[in-house]
Parts: sequence; structure tokens; C-alpha cells
Amino acid sequence: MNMDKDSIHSFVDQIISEIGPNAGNIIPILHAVQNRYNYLPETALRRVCEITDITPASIMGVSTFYSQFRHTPIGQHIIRVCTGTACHVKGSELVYDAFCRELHIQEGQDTDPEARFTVQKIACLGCCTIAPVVQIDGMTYGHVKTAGVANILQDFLLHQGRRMAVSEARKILPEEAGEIKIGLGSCCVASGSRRVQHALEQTLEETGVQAQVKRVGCVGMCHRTPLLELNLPDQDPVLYDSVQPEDVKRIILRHYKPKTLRQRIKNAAFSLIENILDDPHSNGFTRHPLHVRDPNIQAFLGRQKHIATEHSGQIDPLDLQEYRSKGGFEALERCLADSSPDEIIAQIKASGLRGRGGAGYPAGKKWQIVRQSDDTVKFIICNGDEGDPGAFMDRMILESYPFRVIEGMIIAAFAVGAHEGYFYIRAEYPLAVQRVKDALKQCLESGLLGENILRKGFSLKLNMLEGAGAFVCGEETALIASIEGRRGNPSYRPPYPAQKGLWGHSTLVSNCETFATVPWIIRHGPEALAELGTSKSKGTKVFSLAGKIARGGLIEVPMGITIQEIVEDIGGGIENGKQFKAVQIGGPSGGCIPAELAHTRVDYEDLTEVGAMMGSGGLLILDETDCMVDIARYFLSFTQNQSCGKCTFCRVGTRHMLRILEKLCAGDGKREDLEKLEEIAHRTQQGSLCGLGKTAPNPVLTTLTYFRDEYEAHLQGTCPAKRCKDLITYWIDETCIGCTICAQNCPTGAISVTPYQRHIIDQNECTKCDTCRQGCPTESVKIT
Amino acid sequence: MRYVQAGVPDRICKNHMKLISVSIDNRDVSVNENSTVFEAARKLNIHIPTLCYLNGYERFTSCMICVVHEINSDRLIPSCSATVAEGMRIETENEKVKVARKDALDFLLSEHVGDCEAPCHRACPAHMNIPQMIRQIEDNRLVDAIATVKRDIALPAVLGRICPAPCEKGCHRRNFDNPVGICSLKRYVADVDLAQDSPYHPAVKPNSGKKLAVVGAGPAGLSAAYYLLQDGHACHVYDQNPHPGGMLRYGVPDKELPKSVLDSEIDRISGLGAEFRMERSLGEDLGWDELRTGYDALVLAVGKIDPKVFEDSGVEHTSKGVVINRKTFETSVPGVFAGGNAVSEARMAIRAAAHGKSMAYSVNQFLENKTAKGPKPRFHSILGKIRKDEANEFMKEAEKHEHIVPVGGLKTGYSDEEAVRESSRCFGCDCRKPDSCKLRKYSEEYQANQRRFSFVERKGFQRNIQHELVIYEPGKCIKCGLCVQITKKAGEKLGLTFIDRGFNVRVEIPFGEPLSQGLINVAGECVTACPTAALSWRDRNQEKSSPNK
Repeated sequence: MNMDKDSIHSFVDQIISEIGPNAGNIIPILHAVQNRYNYLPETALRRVCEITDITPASIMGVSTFYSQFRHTPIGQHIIRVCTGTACHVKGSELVYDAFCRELHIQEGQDTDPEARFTVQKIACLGCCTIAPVVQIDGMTYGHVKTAGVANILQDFLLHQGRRMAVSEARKILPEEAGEIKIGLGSCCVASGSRRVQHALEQTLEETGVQAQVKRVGCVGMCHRTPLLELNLPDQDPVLYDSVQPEDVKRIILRHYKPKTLRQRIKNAAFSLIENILDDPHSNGFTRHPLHVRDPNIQAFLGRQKHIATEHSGQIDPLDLQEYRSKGGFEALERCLADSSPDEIIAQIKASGLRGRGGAGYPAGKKWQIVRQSDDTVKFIICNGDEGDPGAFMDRMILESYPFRVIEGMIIAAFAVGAHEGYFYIRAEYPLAVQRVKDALKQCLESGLLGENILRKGFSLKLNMLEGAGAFVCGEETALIASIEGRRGNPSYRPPYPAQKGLWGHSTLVSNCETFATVPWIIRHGPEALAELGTSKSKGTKVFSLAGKIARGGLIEVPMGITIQEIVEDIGGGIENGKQFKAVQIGGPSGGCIPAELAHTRVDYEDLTEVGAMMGSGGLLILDETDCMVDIARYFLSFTQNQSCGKCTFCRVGTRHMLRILEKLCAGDGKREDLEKLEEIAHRTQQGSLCGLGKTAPNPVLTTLTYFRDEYEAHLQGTCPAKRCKDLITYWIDETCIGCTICAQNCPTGAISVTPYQRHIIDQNECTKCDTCRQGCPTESVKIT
Repeated sequence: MRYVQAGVPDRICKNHMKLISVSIDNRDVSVNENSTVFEAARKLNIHIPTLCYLNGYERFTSCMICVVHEINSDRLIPSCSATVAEGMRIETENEKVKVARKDALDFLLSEHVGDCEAPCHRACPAHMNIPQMIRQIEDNRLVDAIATVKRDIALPAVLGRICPAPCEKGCHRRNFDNPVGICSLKRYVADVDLAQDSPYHPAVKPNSGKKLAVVGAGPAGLSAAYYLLQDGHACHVYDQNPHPGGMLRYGVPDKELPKSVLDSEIDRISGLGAEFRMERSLGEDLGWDELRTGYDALVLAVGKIDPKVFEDSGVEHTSKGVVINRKTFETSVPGVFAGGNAVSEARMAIRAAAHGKSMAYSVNQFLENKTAKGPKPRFHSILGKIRKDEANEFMKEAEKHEHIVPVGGLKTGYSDEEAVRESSRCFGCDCRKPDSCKLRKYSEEYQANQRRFSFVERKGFQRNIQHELVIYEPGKCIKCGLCVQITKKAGEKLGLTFIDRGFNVRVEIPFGEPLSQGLINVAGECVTACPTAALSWRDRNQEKSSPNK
């Protein structure tokens, strides 16, 4: 790439002329520069300051605040190792180490000596059900094992640049052709559904089978992606899970008979050869069709109630016609035609809807404050900055139901009197960003946005802004600072954004799930929502269910359901028959609820009472192999890293807590450290300025309350869950058959190859990377 | 895309401002509805402490020192940002508030990288301001240097020869090569002074009409007399020996401490009006009745003596010596003070001399107010042992050469040139704003404790000397952002900015340019606004003369 001064200058000049020179555009400008150069060359930043209102102080302040921006060149490819909570409990740190080792990256560096790959830890990619997850440039790999990193790098190098040629356009076929639905949420894509789609289209082409291929948003059953659903006329729908590209042809031929004789013969031959090769013990065709009435699917779907996720897995996220044909934008039409803003607000109030972003502020009340402000300029913001590691509800909603969120936003904007608004979406969610952008474009073209919406006189302009890697920007005042092009420092409330928000104007900020619920309320009436749930928490809540759960995914359940019901009935209990230990709810702001309290209801107040909080809806299930001290340490390292650093208590308090937790995990803790930890937690809770600092101690305090025995054990130098590296030892027991796999996989040579004999781990060489245990066919590798 | 620029004036309700009544510390006040609690308190002349707030600048709410207690909601709120509301009841200084402020200070101090006073200064039993003396030597201001020395040490020429120099054990320079020769420098200053036609003579207050007796003319008694005389009190010094000096005269060989040096310094004390009454032994020919009736106060600096002497005195004692209040040096008898080896045995003359000075301080308080309190304890941020990389930071302002040994040997001490060269080795690790630092001030006020939350591994000390007038020490920054705001408002071309976030957040010059480029027009404003010594004047004298401190 041409990196001389003139070429950088002309590139910067060009993007400024496209984006605009205002100081508020700083983040989009930085994104554009980084997209081009892979980092932010100083020459480019200086040029930005020369030709815009942006000052050097501001460009440096902002570009170093957000973790997406890089100031030094990186390798050709970037490997992002997700360190979200689900990935953490499934060993992402070991995966990170494995990549560094495989690429011979030196201590303190992040790029390999040949500058091919840069390895980075990333807060959360939101693909929690296929944890641990790694993203290399645009390709996502799930269920990564430490022993598999070499294969992943190989696969990446093989496939890179070869974009799967899948069609985005849809051929219209007669109904009798039937329909094949393929889930294309981020989880599905990460599990390979684009490759499956590619294979499907190829198969249809080759076989001449006429079928309607339809991409749909998230089906929710993320634990079984990629999913293919076949809908043939007059037949029960059949769902194939965990489909691999090589399975596709067989699935198609099972259900469709090709039209021409020639193809039928060809296909018969294919089946014959395949059958011969298909030794039942080999890795042949092992996918079995699931009927939707399958008891597992019934259990997963049965307790759910789809409101924000209405038509889950049934509609094409970007098919505006389809959305409208299923009642989409009816609510908006009704509002614009028949209702006054006050009537709409009255309905929202009557429904009992509370903010789904975490704190649960009554939505109708918030709308009313904005409505009643005498500010002549008002804004509306959709908060899609879902930063909780281990949560992916917002991503799924934005990816799968962009029109629904937009509809809810237009209704809200009409009710409060806002004529301009923003989607603020994390940059880590490129698919969500792209779909929302596409959906906005379609709405604008169809008269659903812009001037004189549906010819009813109301106008609204919606813009799209990408975040840049700052969890704290989920806090509304920080989010506003970010839209204004500043560092994402929260400010003291009141004034609340509803009173004085974006650029000093009254602003309605709501989570995307809240907006997605609005059209349903209008269509079904507020009573319908109020009927669901508990006395204070109405309606449903979308949760992302991940961690050590048999059936993880995206679920929407009525409020009031117990945690037990979610884990056992919907989630199918703990995976691999392990013991249910706790559920982490609410991410870094929430807490760990022990299995004994699993009867706690999903209700804003009930959850707060046990020391957790609803949060945005991440439910992370933990089993007996998860160390609660390590979980607390994990969350503190997250909040410590994500704190804006402004107020004393959060900046310093989280750091002190982290240090103590690190000490405990290393077995160096002393009794007085526990008291100190508790004291600092309370001080930080009380003294911090914003929600991040005030809630950061929650994971510490809840684990101290419910799992004090584990802290005590760490004081004695043992980790009961056998997770804390410094407190465990790997060894191989007498069941070892001497297959040498462990020795071959061991990256440090700690195991000598001794065929047909019990292998031995040299403790001096062992880095506890877990590779040997993962690969052992006889489960002979033990930890004590 | 239509953009509304940041900083659009707040138009809401500007024209019809409402008045709000609130109660602050049980006093009612009416202020307009946009006022902050901080501003409302100001109206009542209640000053709420803050580090990050400065009138005329955006409130940043970072330090959290300004919290007050809102009684109705039972919440602590930052007064600089919280706006008033009708019926609000605020308490600005109750227990809950004090605890919260101390918490915030303890947290800030845990990441504060710097010494309020240099370790040599703290280690000196007499608490002499050593770095100041060293700078005066370096600047060839020896008249000022002797004043600095004698403010705390009455017999510097003597001690400059025999002191084991605990100050040098604390010197940070020892972590680079070897400590600064503080003791020899002190001797040099004193010797130069004694060689003058008219050596240093401190200012003496007008006669107070009070008279006191000092029993014992050793280092403790002589020091006590020296300072009490300056306070305007008449002073009779008793001793059992024919000549004053105590152990200095009768316990130290002449080759270590020539008698002529001792005599010269005792002459300085006589010159202030001390009356020596020699060959009088306590309990023999010097009775308790005489001492008690003839004087307004009594200083016992008798050295290590047989405790039987105190039997008739009423002065509480043990086999080890007289029992005193360690802070005030008062004995069990009002008006009777004791120090030096009379209270516990220690070899160091400097410790006895230090006791003498402290006794004088308490005796003077007693004579003026009838109660002795001792000196006000000061807060000290302590850097602790420094690492090699930190020593290199300090070396930016120090000369590289090793410790200078006087060419003339111990007999002559430093020449003028040698003294200046040795002085130039000093790190200048003492704070440039020891008296104007608000962090220190509030830490003192709220009895903050730097060690309550301590880091095993602290951030490294850094010193940026790229600016002609200003020194920047990032480790002392509390992230209030005032300098960032000031440079922005003043339109500095580069100015200062926050870099990074979380615990790593710091103030830097954009694009890594030198400090001199960041602070072109408003360096002085930034130094004045900076609540700590993160930004300070390079020239320490400027700090003393700067206004509003």
C-alpha cells in the first residue's frame, strides 16, 4: 500500500469530503482511516487536524480511548481471540496462549516476527454458544481447541480471499417448490452456515432441484448451528442441525426428486458411491433430521414467548415485503394514522414495559419526560452497544429483526417528538451494522423513514454510528459523549439524557430490545404484555443462554420464569453431565447466583435482591469445573480494562480488587486480603460516579457471599474447581494406553514419546495449556 | 447529515429561572435552579473541598472529594455536579462524608508516585530541610543556606563532624550510585559561616518577660536554649561540668571534634543571651525548689543520670529515665519538659539536638498558651525505595559524577567548588509544591492513609523536563483534567490530552510532542490550577511567590 505522505493526505482529504469535517465525525473518520491502513498512521491523524475542526488533543484523546483503534502497524492478518465470559470459561486464555506459541510471538509483543499475524484479545464477539471463538480477519472459528490452532491457521490461509459466492438475491419460485431455510445469524455464520449456503446453492444448480432458498435470522438454537429447515408442501417441516457442507447434497436428495432423467441417474450414481463409502463407523453421514415436534426442540421452544423475536427463524431479516406481510409496520401505520403521541405513551405505560438495557426504568415514563420537554430539538438513540461479555441478545435482534427495531424507534420518535436519531452499534458486530444499514436504506426508499413518513406528515432521519470498542459507552451519558465525538466518559446524572442529552437536547435513549417490543404492544394492546410476567416486571425478556449448558442459544421467555426452568427445561441442563453450580447473570454488572437460589424468578427486583441484576440479558451457566474466584477475577479484569479512568473510585478501586483477586488465584492471598477486597468493593460501589463503577464490585460481592468457601480454599493454596493455573498440576494416570497423542500435541515438549507405555508429564516444562487433556482419547490426563 | 455543534448554549428555561430553597448544614439558602450544591454552599460561605473543580471550567467530577450527604435520600452526591432540588437537605461535613473523602484520598494516594518531602529530610531527626540547603549551596546562596540549616540544627559545625548521617541512608541517589554527602555539605555551610566576621545571627523576638532554666548543657540543652532564646525568653543553662557541651566536650575525642569548633558554636548561643551557670549538679547543689520557684518552665536535658535524682522532684520516671509525652516532651509535672538521653539512651547527638529543638517548640507553646501541643503533624506521601529506571528519571536533573571526597580530607572539608559539585548530584526528589498541594492539604485534614490500599508494584516515577519553565511528573497526576481543559479553552495549538483509559489513563502532549510544544501560552495557568505537583514551576522560588496559595 502506498504509505507516502501525499497519498495519505489525498486519502484523508477524500474521506473528509465524504464524511464531513465536523468535530462530531471523529469516530467515523478514524474508522475510515483504520479500514484503509489497518492502523492509524500519525501522518493521517495530523492531516485530519489540518483540514477539520478536530484538534490534536481531541484526536489523540479519542483514538486512544477506544480499543478498536491502533496506533502502530500490525501484521497482515489480525487474529481476534474472544475473551467474552463464555469463551473465558471454555478456556480462551489458553487459546490465546496457543496462538502466540504457534506463531512464535515474543513475550510483550502481539505480532509474529514475519508480521503476518497480530493476535489480539477482544472483549466479546457475541458468538457465545460456540465458545471459544476466534476471528481471523473476517472468518470466525468456533469451538476452538488449543491443539487445533495450527489447523485453523492453515484453514484460514487456504480460504482467505476466497469469499463464498453466495447469492443475496432471491429467485421467486412457485410455492410447490418448497422452501429451504438457512439460519444466517453470526453464530450460524461462525459455525459455517455460509459454506453450507454455498454448498446448497451449488447442489441445487447441479441437481436441478427447484427449491426456494431462504436465509433467516437467528433461530435461537445456536447450540446446533448451522441449521437447515426444509419446508415441503403438505409435509411437516424437517430441521437438520449441525449441518456440514458435505451433508447438503444428501439432505437435498433425500427430499427432492430431480426433474430430468439424466440428473436422476447421475444422482443415483452419486448415492451409490456414497453408500459404498459410507461405512457406518466412518465420519460419513451422521446428521439426522429433527422433526420440529422432537421433544428436545419442543422443550427448547415450548416455554418461550416470542415478542421481540417474533417469527424467530422464519423471516428473512432484510426482506421488507415479508416483514410487512407478517404485520410489520402495521403498528406504525396505526400510530401515525389514529393515535396522538400522548395516547401512544399511555399505551406503553399501561403495558408496564421497562427498559431492557439493564436498569429497568419504566419506558413510558421516560418517553413522557422527553415528550414533555419544551426543547424544540429532540433526539432518539437506539443503544446497540451491547458490551457485556457473554451476551449477544442485541446482536441477534439487530441482525435478525432490524425492521422491527426501526419500527419501534419510529413509533417512539413520533411519541416523543424527535426528528433525528441514531443507531449506536458496537463495531464488533459488523453483520448487525450491515443489516441495520441495509434496512435503513430500504425504509428510506419505501417512505418509512425520511420526510413525511407514510404520508402522515411525520419526519424522522435515522443515522448509523459504529462504536469503537468501549464497554462504558453502553452507559447512556458515555454513549452520547461518543456520538458527539468525545472520549466516552460518563457524566453525572441528573440531568438525565431525557432532560439534557445529545448536544444538550432532550434525548430518548433505549435499548434495541425495548424498541423491538413496542410494535407488538401496539398491535396486541398493552394488556397483552401486561398479562405476561410478574407484578412489577411485565412481558418477556430475551436472554442469551451460554456457558456450560446443553442447549445454548437465544431465548425469549416470559418474566417470572425461574432460573431453574430456564436451565433445566429450556437449556436441557448442564452439558456433559456435569454439576450445575451457578448462573452468572447481568455480566460484569451482575452477579453469580448459586444453584441453591435457582428458584429465583426473572424479575428486576428479585434479581437485585440476590445481588445480581437483570442486566441486558446474558445468562452464563457455570458448572463444577468453574472457579468462582477466577470468575470474579475475570470480571474485574474486564471492568478494570473498560473503566474510563475518570473517577477515583472506579479507576483505582477496580485495579486494587483485580490485584487482590490475582493474588488469590495465584495462591498468594492472605486472610486480610479477603477483608480488604470486601472493603474496597463496598467503597467502589458507593463512591463511583457511573453504573460501571457502582456495579463492578457485584461479581466480587456475590461470589464472596455465595462461594466464600472457594475463597477460603484459595487462601489454603487449592482451587477446588481445578482451574487456577498456579494451583494445579497435570498428570497422567495408569489408564494411559500409550497412544502418544499427548506427547505429539504437547507444545513445550513436557511429555516424552513412550509408545504403549504410560506417559509422564515433566512438571518443569508443563505450561498447563490443557492440550494433552483435550486430546486424550482415554481421559487419562488428570488435574490435581 | 445535519450536525448540531457541541456546546450549543443551554436554552432550556434560561429566561424564566426558578429559585430553589435548600438546606445546607442546617442553614437555608435560595439559589437558582441550575446551581450546583457546591455553588449553593459557596453562597453560605461553606467551602467544600475539591481537587478537580475550578470555577469557569466544565465540571469533570473525577476526584470525588467534593461529596456531600443528601439526607432525604441518604446518598452521597458529588456537590460539584449535583444540581439543587427543592427541599434538598445537605450536610457537608458529617462522619459519613468524612469517611467517603478519606476513602477517595486513600485511593488517590495509593497511585500517587512521589515524596512530599525528600527521604533525607524525613530521616533527619532534626527534620532539617536538606534539599533546600543543597539548592542554596548550588546557587551559591550560603547566607540562605546557613539560615536553612540553623532553622533546625543549632550546632551544625559540630554535628557536621560527628553525625552518623541517617539522612544519607534515605537518599534516593544511593539507588543510582552513592548518596549525596549531606553531612559534609552541612558542615561546609556551617564552617563557612563561622569563618565570617559576623556569623549568622537569627532574628530574636522581643523579650517575653518569661524566664526558664535548662538543666544540662549537652546537645539537647544547648539546642533548646538556642531556640527558646530566639522566642524572646530568658534562659539559664545549668551544668555540672566547668564548660558547656556535655558529651560533645567530654565524650568526643578532639581529633574528631576540635574544641575550637564546639566553642565557636556555643559562642553563637551565648551571643543570643544565654546565661551559663556551670558546675551546678542536680540533686546536689542545684535543688528542685530553686528550679521550680525561680522559673516559668524547666527543661531537663541532663543526659543519662541516676534516676534517684528525680525522687524528690515529682517527675515520673523509670529505671530507664524520665517518662514524657512523646509528642510534647512534657513530663508528669506541668511546665517541666525533658528530652535527650534523660528520657532514653541513644548514641546520636543529632537525636539529642532534635529533642532540644522540639522541647523548645513545646515550651514556647506552653509559655504562650499554657498548653503544649507539639508540632502539627504533616502528611507525607512516601515513594519508598526507587527502582533503577526511576533513578534514571531523577538523573535528568542531576549531574552524573560520583560522590566528591574533599581533596583536603576530613580536616578541611569541602572547598567551595567541591561543595557545589557535590550539591549538583542531588535528585531534587522533594515535592515542588509541598505547601500548595491540595492533595496533601486534604490528606492532612482528613487523616488519609497512603498505605491503606497499597500496590505491590506501583507505577514508575517519571519526570518530564522538556519545558523551560514547567516540570511535569505524571505519577502525581490525579486525572482532574484541568490542564486539558485550560489548554483547550486557551486554544493552545497542541495543548494536553488524556491518553488511554482506565487505570492507564494519563495526560500527555498529542503526538508525543515535547511538553514545551504543548504548553506555549498557558503554562502558568496550568501550574496554578494543577491541584498537585504534577505540573509545577521548574524554578522552586516561583512557587513560593505565586499568588493565591
